[in-house]
Amino acid sequence: MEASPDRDLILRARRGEAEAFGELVRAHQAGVFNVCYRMMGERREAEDMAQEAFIRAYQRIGTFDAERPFGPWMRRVAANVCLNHLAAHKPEAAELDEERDADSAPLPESGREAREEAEQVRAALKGLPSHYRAVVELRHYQEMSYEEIAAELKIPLSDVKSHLFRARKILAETLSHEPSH
Amino acid sequence: MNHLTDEILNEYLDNTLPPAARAVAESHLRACADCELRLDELADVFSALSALPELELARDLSADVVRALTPQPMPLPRLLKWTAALQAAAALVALIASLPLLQTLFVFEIPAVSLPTVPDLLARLDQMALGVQEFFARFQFQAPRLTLEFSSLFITVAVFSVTLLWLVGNGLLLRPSNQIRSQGDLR
Ligand SMILES: [Zn+2]
Repeated sequence: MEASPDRDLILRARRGEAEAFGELVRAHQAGVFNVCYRMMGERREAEDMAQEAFIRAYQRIGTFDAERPFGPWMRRVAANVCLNHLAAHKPEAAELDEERDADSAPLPESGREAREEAEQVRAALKGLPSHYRAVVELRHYQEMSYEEIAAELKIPLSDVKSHLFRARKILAETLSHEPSH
Repeated sequence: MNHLTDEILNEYLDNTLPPAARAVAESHLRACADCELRLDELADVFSALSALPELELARDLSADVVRALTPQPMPLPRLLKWTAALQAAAALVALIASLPLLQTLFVFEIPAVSLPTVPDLLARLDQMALGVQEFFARFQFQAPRLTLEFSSLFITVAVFSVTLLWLVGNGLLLRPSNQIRSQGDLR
């Protein structure tokens, strides 16, 4: 069996080498940031949450099996950190919507339509209740099964399904109402 | 005929239906335009979600993370270094200022200026060896009496300032170094 490429770094980080963990951060930060961006809907907050997620992961790295791939675990931790944060700090959604934000980095003209579509999807995601958003994140972006999601979020399987299906219904309605072109 | 439920449609797209149920759903979908339309709408959500592009991270987070994970010995701020020097000076001043006071605590005169010579010290050790009782018998304690121009207010101020400086200096030094910040427990 092929050893996880991050194995050595994980073992060193477990011995308290923060620098080794820094390597892991560099390797996985983009993916983790994207999880956080989908959950938080705002770049600055997503960066903060990504950082927080890595710190939480470091604190629990002793319980992580170094033979398993680090990335998927890390992204789950990130989704959880975001969800907990969102649950603890109830929405101020309305104001933040305005500043959704500087990802209007200049794109080639051909990319504009795609960017608008992406913006609509992000806005629709952000409109979901945070626990729905977490289930969508874990199912659609982290490709976890219903059962894995239930275990990860510590909620009943029936809740996973109902949250996921309702979330999709809301997304379908939101996206079909947006003038997409 | 009974249309497919939302749950069936969702599970169909999630590929979680058992084979028999999947076959039933497929044959219904072939026959029912309504359900096929509902499935298409749902499938659009799937493709919209998966088409969402990954964003670039604008800055490297690793340095901040590593810094947060490394317990930092706090570098002494310049002000604090001065405070330390000031403390030492103030302590010295207070010590000198308190010498006359110390002298007045005792009835006999301490030769305050001339340093004791070695035979002198030996003699004193000798005397100490005579015994604790005898040693204490030589002194009579009395209230401090100031003979120099040091007022007791001056002494009080000196001692107070030293204490204050000490408290401030050490309070800053002993401030908890940055702890790993964290919020809420992972569930
Ligand atoms: Zn039907």
